[in-house]
Amino acid sequence: MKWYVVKRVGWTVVASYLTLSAMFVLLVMSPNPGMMQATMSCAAVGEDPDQCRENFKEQHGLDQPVTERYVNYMVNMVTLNWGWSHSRTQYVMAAIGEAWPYSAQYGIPTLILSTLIGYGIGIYSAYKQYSLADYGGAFVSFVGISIPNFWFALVLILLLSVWLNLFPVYYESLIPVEQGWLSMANLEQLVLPTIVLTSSSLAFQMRYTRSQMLEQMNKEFVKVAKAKGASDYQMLIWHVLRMAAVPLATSFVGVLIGVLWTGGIIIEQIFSIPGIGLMTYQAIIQQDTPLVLATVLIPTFIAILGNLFEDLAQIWLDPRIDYGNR
Amino acid sequence: MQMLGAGGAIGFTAGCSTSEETPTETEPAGDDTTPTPTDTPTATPTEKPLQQGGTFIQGSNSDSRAVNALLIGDGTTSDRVGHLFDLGWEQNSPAYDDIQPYWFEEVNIADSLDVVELKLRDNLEYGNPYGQLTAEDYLWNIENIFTSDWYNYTYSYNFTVGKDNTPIKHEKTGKLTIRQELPEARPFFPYNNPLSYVIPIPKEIAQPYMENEDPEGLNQDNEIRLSTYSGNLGPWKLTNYKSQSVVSYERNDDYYLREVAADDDRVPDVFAEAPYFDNYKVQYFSEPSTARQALKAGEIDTFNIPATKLSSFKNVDNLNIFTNPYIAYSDYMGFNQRANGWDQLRNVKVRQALSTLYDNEFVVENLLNGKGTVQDTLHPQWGPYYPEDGLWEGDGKLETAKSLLEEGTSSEYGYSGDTFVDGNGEQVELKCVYVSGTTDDLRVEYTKKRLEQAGIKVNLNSTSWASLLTQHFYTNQPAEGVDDPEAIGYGDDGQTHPSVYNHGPRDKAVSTKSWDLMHTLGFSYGPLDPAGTVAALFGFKQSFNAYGHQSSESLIDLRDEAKTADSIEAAASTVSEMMGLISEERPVAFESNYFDYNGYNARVRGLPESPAASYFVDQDYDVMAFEGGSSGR
Repeated sequence: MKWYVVKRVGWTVVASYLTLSAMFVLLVMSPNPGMMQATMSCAAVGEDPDQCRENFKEQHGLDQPVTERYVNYMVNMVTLNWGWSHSRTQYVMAAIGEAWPYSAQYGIPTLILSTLIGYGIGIYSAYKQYSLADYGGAFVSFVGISIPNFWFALVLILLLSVWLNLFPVYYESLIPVEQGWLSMANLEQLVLPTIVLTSSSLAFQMRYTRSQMLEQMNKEFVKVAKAKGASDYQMLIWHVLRMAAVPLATSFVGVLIGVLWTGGIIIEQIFSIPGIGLMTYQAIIQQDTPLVLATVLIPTFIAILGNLFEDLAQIWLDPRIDYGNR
Repeated sequence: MQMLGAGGAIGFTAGCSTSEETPTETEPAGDDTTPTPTDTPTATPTEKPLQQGGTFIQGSNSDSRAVNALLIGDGTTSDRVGHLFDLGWEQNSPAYDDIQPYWFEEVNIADSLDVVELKLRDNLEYGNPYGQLTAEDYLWNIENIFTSDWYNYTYSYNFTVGKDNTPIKHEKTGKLTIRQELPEARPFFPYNNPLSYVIPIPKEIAQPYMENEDPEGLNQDNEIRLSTYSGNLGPWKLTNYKSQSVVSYERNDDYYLREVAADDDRVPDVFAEAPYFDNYKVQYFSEPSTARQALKAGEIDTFNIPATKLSSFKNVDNLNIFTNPYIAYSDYMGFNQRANGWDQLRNVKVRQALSTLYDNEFVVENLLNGKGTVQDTLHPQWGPYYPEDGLWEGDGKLETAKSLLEEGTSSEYGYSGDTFVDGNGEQVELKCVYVSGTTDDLRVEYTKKRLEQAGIKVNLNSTSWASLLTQHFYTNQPAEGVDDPEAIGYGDDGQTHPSVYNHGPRDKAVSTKSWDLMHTLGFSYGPLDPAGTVAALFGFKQSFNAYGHQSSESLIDLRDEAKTADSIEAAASTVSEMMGLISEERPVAFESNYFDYNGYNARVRGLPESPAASYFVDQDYDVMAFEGGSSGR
């Protein structure tokens, strides 16, 4: 077991290194809009754009050999000196520190809500298979999976914000600063982003829970539990859900990353939330290398370490699982 | 709008053509007014006294790099910084002396056009403890930052002139006076004078970084990042800056221009109490449609509206639309005259034939619904250098285009029935690249239809903006059959590369992917220096000549002739010659410049008349106010 954990942690390092290297190569090969803009400014007065390009490169550290830039970035990553973000004109760690609360304030509620509601409806749908409630649940989940987040968000904005004037159209980032993170004004402007993001992650969890529950409900031990007189509640929660929870636990990290990074990129763009998702997107399109690398490194670590914890959690959920000397 | 352009300068842009909605028939008030010449002075009509109060929120779909006055090369940062600093002066018209004086109360240009004498106002103060802004601050910044080797200031090149980059001499002639001396007369220099827009920073802040030659340290200094030294130099004071979210200001009660307005006739009286909003915010929107919804809902007070979206604002009661027909921009269809394009595109008559088929008047009237102005050269019709005659104009007739095609192509080409065929009897096929968007989709469909009427098959190839630039507009790949792929540049050794867009001669350097016709990519520029713009885009060995165009006359010589003429009037005939030359040669199929629309909260007062009366009319938030001092939110 210990050897297994050590190997998995070692793999974390290798995977992070490979991910960072791949991102660095992609960024080096991509065009740089800032540099193009600098050269265009020069041509306005018929001056030498090459000189401007060189100036830009020097200002942004792009004049160094690629190998040197690569080594510098890798060393900086390891020493947690994640550098200066030229797109935000602040240190990367400060940028992340400033952005994450904005993502967390809708990400955490989304995670809790989608898990509770998704698991709840999934269990109920499985219990009432082929009932009206099951079909209703299926409809909700397919709608959640099928409707793109950006479209759903725009529809909600139009309906609930512009027409009915119930919620703000966009997120005002100074409200939590001036009125408090738990102020009513701040909570109001988090409602729509949370609904949109919950709808998609809830649907996935609901369908997955339902299928796992159904699989377990047909097992022999369930029949034995019923024969022994277990109530529906006991049978569902203490027997079926416990077994279904083992595969369900493996989806948690995926959902977390999906919510905070993938979903966050879309949601934060639409609602103008200055969180991790928007920061990541802007860093990529502006080729802000230190910030891109940092925002890639964090979900990579979460994914790899999260999967490790999931595997370990399975031992707790199902004592029959034993990694032994793997 | 996707944009790579540089603020106040020139650049490639995908203009309104990338908007997502179908063009509409909505006509905001006064929208059909024909643009008039540019020499109308700036006017900010106010019917009754403006009232102070309220928070004005401007939506923006671009983000700034902090509020650093040294980074004004970035147009968005320049805008945010511009609320804290007024700059030197602004032109009200092409006339040299028709200026709006801000920090410099006097700007005297010698008749010989090689000397400029300037005088600063005496009430300009940095924030404590940096004291008065004087000529010494300008001179110190020019010498130690703007033209230094260690800092690499964006506009350092504007402190030199000519092919040899001869420095402009700057001399302090008094506490508040500066003398600039050029090596020769340059009639366009007053429009690019760097002292009109550079912002000197306090020596006390910059000196330690200068001594250590630490540009990163200077940019990372919080006083520089957030311009905390702005003092009374601008109408606003910064209260909050959140990257990728909001920049927030409050009224600067010490604003120097308030006391100046009473004495200086050139400063409108409205500045005596300016600015009028208590607070002013610039809210960043990554997604423009969110900003438009926020504008409709009254949560923000202004935002740009693409012409294709105007219909959805037709019945919004609480909004006014400000129309600006004076956008210095050229939309056109590009022709690839390099080795990986159709070789017949190098013939003038072929390009004229395709320009005839791509009828710009039809495009403006029917595809843009009249929300633009036709151009037959690289200059807007309302611009000071658009020739009244001498321009080549296609008649749009199919028969004319067909005969031009037959005359312009080499002998093996010709018509077989209604089909235009090459020497093998195969129909001519051209590849048209573009970035999909409602108006560009219409443009390419129109191109396809018209060329097919003339017997040419058109294959449409939609791509991304990044790919359009890097795969089709970068010309850094060797052409097929080039002997030495490492030497595709200009010069004997093939190592001279003006830019990645023009990496070498058209027979040697080509784009990664082949193409013949290109939509979406247009060009934005300042209209007062057209000679530089034309040469940069179409001149031999010039930075942006990705098209591989080779003019029958040297555009570079013509540009230099214009730039060193004795006067603007003397330069005008040369500029006119350049305009006529490219009009006839059609390096691209010139099309139009679009109209710009901004929605405003109906409670906002102090807007200029709509549509704007000239290129120099500004939507100046410093002299706007809410009706009754409240936004109504």
